[in-house]
Amino acid sequence: MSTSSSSSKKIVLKSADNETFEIDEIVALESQAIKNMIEDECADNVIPLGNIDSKTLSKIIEYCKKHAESPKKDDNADIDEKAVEDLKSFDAEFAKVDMPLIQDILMAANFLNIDNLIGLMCRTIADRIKGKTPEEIRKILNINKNDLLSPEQEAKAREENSWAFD
Amino acid sequence: MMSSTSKSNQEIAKKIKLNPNTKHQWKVEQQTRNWLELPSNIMTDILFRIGAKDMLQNAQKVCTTWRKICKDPSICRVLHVDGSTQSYQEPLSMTFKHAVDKSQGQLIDLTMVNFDDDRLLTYVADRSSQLRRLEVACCDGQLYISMLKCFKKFSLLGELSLHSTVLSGRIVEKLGRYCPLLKILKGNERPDTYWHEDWVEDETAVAIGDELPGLTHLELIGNNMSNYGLKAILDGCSHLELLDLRGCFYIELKGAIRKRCKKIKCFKMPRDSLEGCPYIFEDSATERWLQKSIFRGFY
Repeated sequence: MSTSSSSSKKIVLKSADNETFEIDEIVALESQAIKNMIEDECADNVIPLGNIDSKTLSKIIEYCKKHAESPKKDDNADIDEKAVEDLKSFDAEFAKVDMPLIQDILMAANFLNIDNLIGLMCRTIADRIKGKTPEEIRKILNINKNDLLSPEQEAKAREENSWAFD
Repeated sequence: MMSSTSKSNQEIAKKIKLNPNTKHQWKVEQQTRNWLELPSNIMTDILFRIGAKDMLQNAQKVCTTWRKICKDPSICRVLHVDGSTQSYQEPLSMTFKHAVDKSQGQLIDLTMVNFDDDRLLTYVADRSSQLRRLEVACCDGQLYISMLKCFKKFSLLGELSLHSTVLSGRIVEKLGRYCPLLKILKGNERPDTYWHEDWVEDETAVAIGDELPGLTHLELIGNNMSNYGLKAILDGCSHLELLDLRGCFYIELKGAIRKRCKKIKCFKMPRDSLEGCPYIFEDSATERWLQKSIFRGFY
């Protein structure tokens, strides 16, 4: 694996709506899935990402760029605290998007295997549904009505709960 | 990393290959995204983050998929109970008994804050032999009695934290007898605001030196031990990598004993700043007193 030339190497990603994104390899390496492809030398041509639209993909690239630029923990034991704070506030800003986009990002991050981003999105969703009633949660997440509890299951869940609050 | 055998290439290609069906589905459903397409490990991650109470009271009623995930015992492996959020409509102890039941003996990490229902700990002890970490903060004397009884059920315990909760010699004895894997012990009490020589108390420190030779991490913040107790710890616990003695104002740190302490990889002295100590040093009166006492110059 070449190390010196890899920093300038470019990777091209293509979204579902046929938009191409040229990014530095170092940014692409934030994705474990792409990293595997690069290591196995199957990333020479354009990488098609048929289930990620351009809006989502550009968001993901924005995230990977920022995180690739930041000093990594294992590089240096005493990393700059300011850099950590900076990354934290970037993440907080990054997560201020609507629910559909959060889901798209989460699905894509899962597909591309970007651990930190999966964690950030899960945390964001958890924060938004914490303390909410089942009905409110369904509304926030736009849960498919086909998957609602049957009246019997509903009764069972209620029963379990009434037991819990005896 | 030149392992580009045709097989691994194929695997990767398979992983990333365009699936026309997925694409089609994605487009069609863009308006009504279905959360349930998310892989179950991610759903579990989200539900895990909202905590046991929300999970039991709300999340499991959202849809059948979530109900199935919430029924998985492993999701209740880590529990955090905070009595200060309790209300009459939602008796917290019941919710947590429910969560403990759900864990089906797989509970590994329990945190109890501001909790006065000592029966809960007994309940946990009878059902959770896998517990690895226990943290108790700001819990009153009633709990202390049940704590003494519970350690014999926690034979795998590796970490115990007691914040603003008495860490007595008796507790240490029980730990020594029943918890051979204990490596981390944290005791954290508000230091006395007045100094009096009669208040020196070496019982806990001596017990630690006698009973817990395997400790690697020991915090005894605000403990009233003297040099006698400290020596017992240094003699008994030869594997210590961290020793935190902040707020232990009855220790006179000089000479040989000082040298011995300094040999420990991470050592915090009685006068080091108490900043960041959870639960106890938040009120400014203590902080002010501690500042002033530095000028009085006693150790």
